[in-house]
Amino acid sequence: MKPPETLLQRQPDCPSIDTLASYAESPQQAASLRPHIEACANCQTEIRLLNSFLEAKPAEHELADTRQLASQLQARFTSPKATTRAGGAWWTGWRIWVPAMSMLLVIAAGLQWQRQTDATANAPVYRDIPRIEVYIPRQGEQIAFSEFRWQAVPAAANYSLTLTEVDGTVAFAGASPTASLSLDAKTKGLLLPRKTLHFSVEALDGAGKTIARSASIRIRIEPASPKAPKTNE
Amino acid sequence: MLQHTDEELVVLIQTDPSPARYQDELFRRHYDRVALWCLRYTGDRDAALDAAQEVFLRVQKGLRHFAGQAKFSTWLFTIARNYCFNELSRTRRQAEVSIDAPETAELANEPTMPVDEALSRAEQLQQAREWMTKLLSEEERQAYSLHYGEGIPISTVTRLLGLSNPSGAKAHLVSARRKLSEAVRRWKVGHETP
Repeated sequence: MKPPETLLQRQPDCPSIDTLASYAESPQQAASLRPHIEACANCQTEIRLLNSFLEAKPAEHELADTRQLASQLQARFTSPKATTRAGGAWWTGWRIWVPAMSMLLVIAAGLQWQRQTDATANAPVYRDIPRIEVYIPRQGEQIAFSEFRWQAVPAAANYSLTLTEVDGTVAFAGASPTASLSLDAKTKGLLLPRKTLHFSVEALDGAGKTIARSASIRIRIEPASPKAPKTNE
Repeated sequence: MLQHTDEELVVLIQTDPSPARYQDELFRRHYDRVALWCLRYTGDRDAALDAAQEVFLRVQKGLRHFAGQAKFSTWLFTIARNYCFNELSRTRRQAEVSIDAPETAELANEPTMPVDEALSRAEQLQQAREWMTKLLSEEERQAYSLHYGEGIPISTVTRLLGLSNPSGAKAHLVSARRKLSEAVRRWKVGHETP
């Protein structure tokens, strides 16, 4: 036999997670909470999970995966950076070069295909990514999706694009001399419902050197009702 | 930038016209912990990457509303926890049942303690807390609370609590069940009307 589930969940008299965090940090300063916490398995569990989250100490067998994941996250969420110029403060280089390069990517993520009989008339819904400032349709807005678009980099001679699976496998790699790439049928075929892909683009100068790159943009397409399309949020 | 606290970085992100470098620094400080949390929750590197990205996307989206009443790390934990518990649990629970089928089913089908007719809800809560505190070990309590209270699959509970015994949370759940069953039996005997 077991206690009813509802008795094992958070109760109205349980402190908020912020309060529990204060207690975990300094039990003396939040001593009034002690009687409740000592009697409440739910709160004890929350504190243990919070502490284990904050400590972030991977076990031996978790080390490699954790490092790899952290590195992938960093690659995907770090903003494009300007090259630091020798002898100058980093921000000097940033201020000189970034106006030409930093605003690179403007692509939407979270596409949502509508089910329509005419495959070429698919109308995705874009989900905005906060980092990206322009060309992003409002959430829920439907636009005809026939190409990837991004903001042009003035010195770019060419752009290199990549669509990867979540495990990093390259699903598509292409190039474009302009700041867009039309999707052919084969590429559209990669955008399957409920499949997550990552799109990224690099701007190359005439010598083939990368002069700017986008963050990795997560794309997820979900089937929608033709009458009431949904966004991913 | 290293001298800024997380909360100061959030203010800079909210107010500076070029917030990207502040966000880079703030996120950099927390990639490891979100990665590890998602890895433990999902038990799979690819799924963990997807979950961790979703967590950071939610953080990006919510940063402008972060009012600094809590520590950033606590807020981040809440987002990671809620995302995993709410969004991933439904799909993962299905898969888990097929893996641990016999014993999971046994635990899931276990009857609840039949004290609801005799006690008010507040009394039930007090009684349940008392039994769990007095009778169960710390790990039994927490495994029990996560599995039965939150509906977290057994193997996930094992990873979240960092249990290294061979059968993981399952052993703690079985032991807790035995102790609580005995407590309920004794309680019933003591409260039976002649």
